[in-house]
Amino acid sequence: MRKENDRPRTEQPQKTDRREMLAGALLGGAMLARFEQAQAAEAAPGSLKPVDPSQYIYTTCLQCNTGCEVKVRIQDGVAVKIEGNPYAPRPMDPHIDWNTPVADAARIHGHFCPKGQAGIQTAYDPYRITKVLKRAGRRGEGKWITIPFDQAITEIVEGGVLFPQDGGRRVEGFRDLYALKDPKLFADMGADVNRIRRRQMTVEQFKEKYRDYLNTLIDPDHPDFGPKNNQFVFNWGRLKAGRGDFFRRFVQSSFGSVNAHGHTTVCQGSIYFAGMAMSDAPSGGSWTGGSKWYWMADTANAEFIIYWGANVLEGGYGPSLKIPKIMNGLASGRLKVAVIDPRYNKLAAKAWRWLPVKPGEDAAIALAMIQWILENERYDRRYLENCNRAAATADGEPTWSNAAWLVKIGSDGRPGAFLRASEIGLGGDADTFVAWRNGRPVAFRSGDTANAAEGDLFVDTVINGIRVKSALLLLREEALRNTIHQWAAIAGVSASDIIALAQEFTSHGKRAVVEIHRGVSQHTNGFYNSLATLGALNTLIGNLDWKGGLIYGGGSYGETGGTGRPFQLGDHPAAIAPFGLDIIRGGAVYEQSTIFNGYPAKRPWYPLASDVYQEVIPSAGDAYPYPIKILMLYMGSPVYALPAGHSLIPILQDTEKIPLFIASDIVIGETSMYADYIFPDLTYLERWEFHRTHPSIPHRVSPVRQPAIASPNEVVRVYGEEMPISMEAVFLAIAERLNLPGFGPGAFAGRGDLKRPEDFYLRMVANVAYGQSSAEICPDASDEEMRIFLNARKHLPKSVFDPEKWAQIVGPQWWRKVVYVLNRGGRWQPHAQAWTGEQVTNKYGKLINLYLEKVALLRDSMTGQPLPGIATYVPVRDSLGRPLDHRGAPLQLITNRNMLQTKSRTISNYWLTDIRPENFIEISPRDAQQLGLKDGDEVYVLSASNPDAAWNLGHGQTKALRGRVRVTSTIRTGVVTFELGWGHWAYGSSPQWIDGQMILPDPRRGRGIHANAAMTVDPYIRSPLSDVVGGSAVFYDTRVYLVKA
Amino acid sequence: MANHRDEAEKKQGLAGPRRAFLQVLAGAGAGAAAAGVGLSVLESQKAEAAEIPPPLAESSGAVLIRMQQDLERALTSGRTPSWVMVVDTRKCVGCDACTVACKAEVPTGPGGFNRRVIQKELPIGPRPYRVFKPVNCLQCDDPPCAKAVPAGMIRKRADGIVEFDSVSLAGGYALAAAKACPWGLIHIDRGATYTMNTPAPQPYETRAFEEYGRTFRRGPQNYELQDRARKCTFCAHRLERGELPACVTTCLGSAMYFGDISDRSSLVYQITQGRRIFRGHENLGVKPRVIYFEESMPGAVHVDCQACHSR
Repeated sequence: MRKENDRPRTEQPQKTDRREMLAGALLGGAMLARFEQAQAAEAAPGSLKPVDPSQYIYTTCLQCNTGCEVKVRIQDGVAVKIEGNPYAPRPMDPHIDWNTPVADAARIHGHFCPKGQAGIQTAYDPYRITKVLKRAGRRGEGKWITIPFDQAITEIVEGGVLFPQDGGRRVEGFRDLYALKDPKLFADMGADVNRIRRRQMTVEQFKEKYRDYLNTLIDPDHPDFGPKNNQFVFNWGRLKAGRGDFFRRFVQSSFGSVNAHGHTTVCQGSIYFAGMAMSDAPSGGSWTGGSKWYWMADTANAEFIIYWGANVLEGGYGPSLKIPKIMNGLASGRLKVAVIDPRYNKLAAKAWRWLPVKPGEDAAIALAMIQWILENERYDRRYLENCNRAAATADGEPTWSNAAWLVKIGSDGRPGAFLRASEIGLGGDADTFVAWRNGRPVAFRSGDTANAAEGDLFVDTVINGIRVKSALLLLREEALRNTIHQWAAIAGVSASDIIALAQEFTSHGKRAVVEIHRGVSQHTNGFYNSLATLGALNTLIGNLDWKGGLIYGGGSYGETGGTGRPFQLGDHPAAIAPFGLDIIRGGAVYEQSTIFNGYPAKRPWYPLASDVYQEVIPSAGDAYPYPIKILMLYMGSPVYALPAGHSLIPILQDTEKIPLFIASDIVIGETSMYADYIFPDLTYLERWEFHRTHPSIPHRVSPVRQPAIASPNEVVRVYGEEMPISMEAVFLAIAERLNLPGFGPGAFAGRGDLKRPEDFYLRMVANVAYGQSSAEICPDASDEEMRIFLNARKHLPKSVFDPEKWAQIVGPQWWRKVVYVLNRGGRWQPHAQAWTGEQVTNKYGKLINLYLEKVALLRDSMTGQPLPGIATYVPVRDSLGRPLDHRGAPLQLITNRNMLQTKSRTISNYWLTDIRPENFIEISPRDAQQLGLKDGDEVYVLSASNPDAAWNLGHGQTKALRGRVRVTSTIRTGVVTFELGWGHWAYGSSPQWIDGQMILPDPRRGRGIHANAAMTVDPYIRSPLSDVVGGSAVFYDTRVYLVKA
Repeated sequence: MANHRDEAEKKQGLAGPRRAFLQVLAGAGAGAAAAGVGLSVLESQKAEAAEIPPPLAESSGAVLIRMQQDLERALTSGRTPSWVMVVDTRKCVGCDACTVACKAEVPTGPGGFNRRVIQKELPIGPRPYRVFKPVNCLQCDDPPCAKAVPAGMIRKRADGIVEFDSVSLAGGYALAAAKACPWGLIHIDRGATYTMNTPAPQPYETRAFEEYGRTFRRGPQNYELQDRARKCTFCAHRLERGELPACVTTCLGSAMYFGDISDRSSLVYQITQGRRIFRGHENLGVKPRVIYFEESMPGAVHVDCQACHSR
């Protein structure tokens, strides 16, 4: 015992008010000596205790969409702690070698974010539902009965008078909508509908040709609506590969509905769809093949990154994945960052510069930078002059742009289509374009690998009487519409900051990047903001595919099959290609439809977008283009997540507009509370999925999500197989009742059954084990690894884990390889292989469009005006192109992420709410002073479209838009914000009645404010404000009043 | 050679943030405070004269592996290690990954934290300074908590960890220990669980866990740590197994380092050599084993610890 302990207690140091008083010193010899002295007292330590590798199951997080690879520690059958998986690049940089024995990796833990770690509490949530709930009262009243799974399946398949309390209406079930079944008829009718769109067939001709099948159509007078099957709408929130493939197989390939819609636009849709248009390639005179994807920085190697509307220290695929790289880069001096955001976010506090842009005016900054870069010739001329692959290859460039391609200018001065060589007598086909070089036109094809074509960058000329300009000149004209000072004034930032930014951005060669996220895209002008920032600026410096530049991500290991791979998950005995307009009019051109009726259309059409979340339920509400019969919602809460989500509630409550509403959820949430049936789902720790990747991950990656713990859900029997109720179980059960091809015995066209989830997912794991080629087939798990695998799963019931059955599914040739993958939670390309010399190995490697011909040839379905084909400044506007009327409200409302919540689905995580019990309306000191507000004051949030400052939940229930104020100098004056994720009114925060018993709510889950209901309801479409080009749901273009409560 | 911050400030013509901060204080009429700060600024400038070693260039995963190797070496060397924790506050992003890792690793009840991250905003002009500072028991070499209770209840281990005799450190003793900590880093475990008043209390909260070599199980009854003093143990139970403390591995900013400072080849020894660092309450002579870097992120707004804290 040390003597100090015996000192009388009066000698304790004097207490001080400064609880964190610290002292400074240079650590040197003296201090070290003190530490060494401390160690002299006691004996030598014990040896290293062993760590049991089978206490971990390696899987993939889904607390947010970053999808980090994790290892879940199981103790006595219970998940107790989640660590980062060191085999994988998201939590570990560099990740350890994939072939490291599992026993050796047991002690190594990667970085992992707080919310991911709290995922245990998403699974072990006292408010989880475990049996099927059927509505007992009216929709949203909170009254339920539990019913047997089989009864629920019978009811939704067969329909009937399911809800006597609704007044005897008959509900149509899945069998009623399974009208068209023959894949050949689908194909033929689909082809003929395309002919109708192209005016090559009349509706009358179609009706004559298919006169025996007209009863299968929604409306024979509008064959382009497609078959009644389309009246089943499947809508999801968070869905990744694997589960996504399984669900689409049901909805589309087997049931034949075109209506499978995701949630993309509530996140950053306009970036995705700008990215899709930018990656389109010419094909037979039109533009196709673009991917719904975009680009991000090679974070670990960049020297300068502008984080633009991207709160990467809180969200935006940042946590675990980007933060370590950014912090190391900043601390070591390798990386410099600038932040453009109305908020002085955490990264801004560590950044070189912060530009507090006015929300929605991002394109003004981008165009000013473009102007400076062009006028000072700081762009990559060599890169931009390349017109095709051959020219790019000659310069060692993996990609090329259409900057030098010539665009035809109409008599009104408006740019339209690209000039084709054939139009000026230079021959070629519909994909032979023209550039200008050495005083004459040059014809070329984009993908030509032999004949390099380069073009002048700033061309304005007339060829054979056709006025043409180069694409880059068109961009320059947009950039020159204002002076840099005028642009700066629009954006509310300083011109010198913009110039400094442009200078810095062009001072690092290809190791500078503009990375964007929601702050840029979730405006009515999100599409054009994305083109100007992500598209134009990066293209100007030609940083695409370069180490430290802009990257596309390394993709994944073809989980669903492909050449050489052991299993083809697309195998199907009678696959349907669904046809017809979808309910959100995604990818559809208004003018080609049979319901074209001048402008404005009843609701917007989205020829460039899909997965327009905010359109699904409102379109059902307007029965436009057609009424729906069944809405099935999976892992989504549009009422909570969408801006102005309250505008969806009356539609969800209307049994005429949505006759059958089925939800799959783990709790009674803000949207599933309006459902007719809630099927309990598995949490991410209990199930399968393949999370794949993000643009900022340069490696090829296939993380696997696999069951780590048992599910509390009722175990049911489908196709003779036992399993806990899940979304898969629901689809399997419906398929069994309807005898749908593609499910059950022989589902894979004679190459296997699909009777339980593992039939699908283990085959995918085997494909991962195969790798990219036969040379990459993974080793067999050793006997020791087989033991670890089985021991780690001892706590899982047979309905979840049955090793004999699992082995049988993939066969002896693949079983030990599957175990090898599952023991590590997936497969990842070795760290160093992500870069080859100065470039990334997994490249985008093709044309990037600066000018978007496809867009320039479309019209806005609301205004009837042609859409610009190039980055441009578009002011914020409503669906009809009119300025928004905020009734004089002074404060612009925005939102932001805190890492401790993920929108609608983490308020159950008590570790997180213990740290941050509530959120606030955050306001600048100047605004607070003007309004007489101080920290902690309660305020109501009012807007032009919600003057009552309340969520109207139906049945006379409301939730006030009332929150507490936090005064902070981290927000631009004139702007107020709140963190997403708090302010719940369901999800265990309000009472529900199940089988007559009241489930007591937990007040911890209802704290804070969710001010989405203050956001603008579009005055014409009466639903959330929308970017009608890129599809984004608009969060940031509302002005509000704060009124002291 | 001047340090990064000075260079960066000169280059960008930034107004000295400390000067601005002093002006803010003076403007607010905090004359006395400003005087105090002024003295400490002098001190800090003196300290800055020393050359700062080159920054750690290894990526975060490499640092984790190196610390892992250091740890295994320390445990098998046959000598008693001398554990220290080092926090590079520049890289802390205030995410609370460590806070949650701690709660999962060593169950504490609602409101009970062995680890917290302090966040503050210092409004010093158009770009405020944001402070993120993780705090946990500093494992003082001369722990005030030990002096506040009868001998034997709080013991200083040879490896530097301050060990509680948790079960006997109850009631008034627990309160006395907690009160004696100058930083408030000891809390009283009330034995509550997060799900105790919900429709379904959850088993993960009552799982067995180890603290100071004993096994405990939270629960409504017979929870031996109820009303006992709790604090950070440097994850001693993990160290024994060759695992780094939970807050260290989880840290997203890669801001946390841990190891045996008596090993000159260890990362913690090498990165602290010649650096400007803070140890809390040096003036009280408590000799904490948690060390904070107080350098600035190159180019970013920075306020030295001394601007608010005296030595």
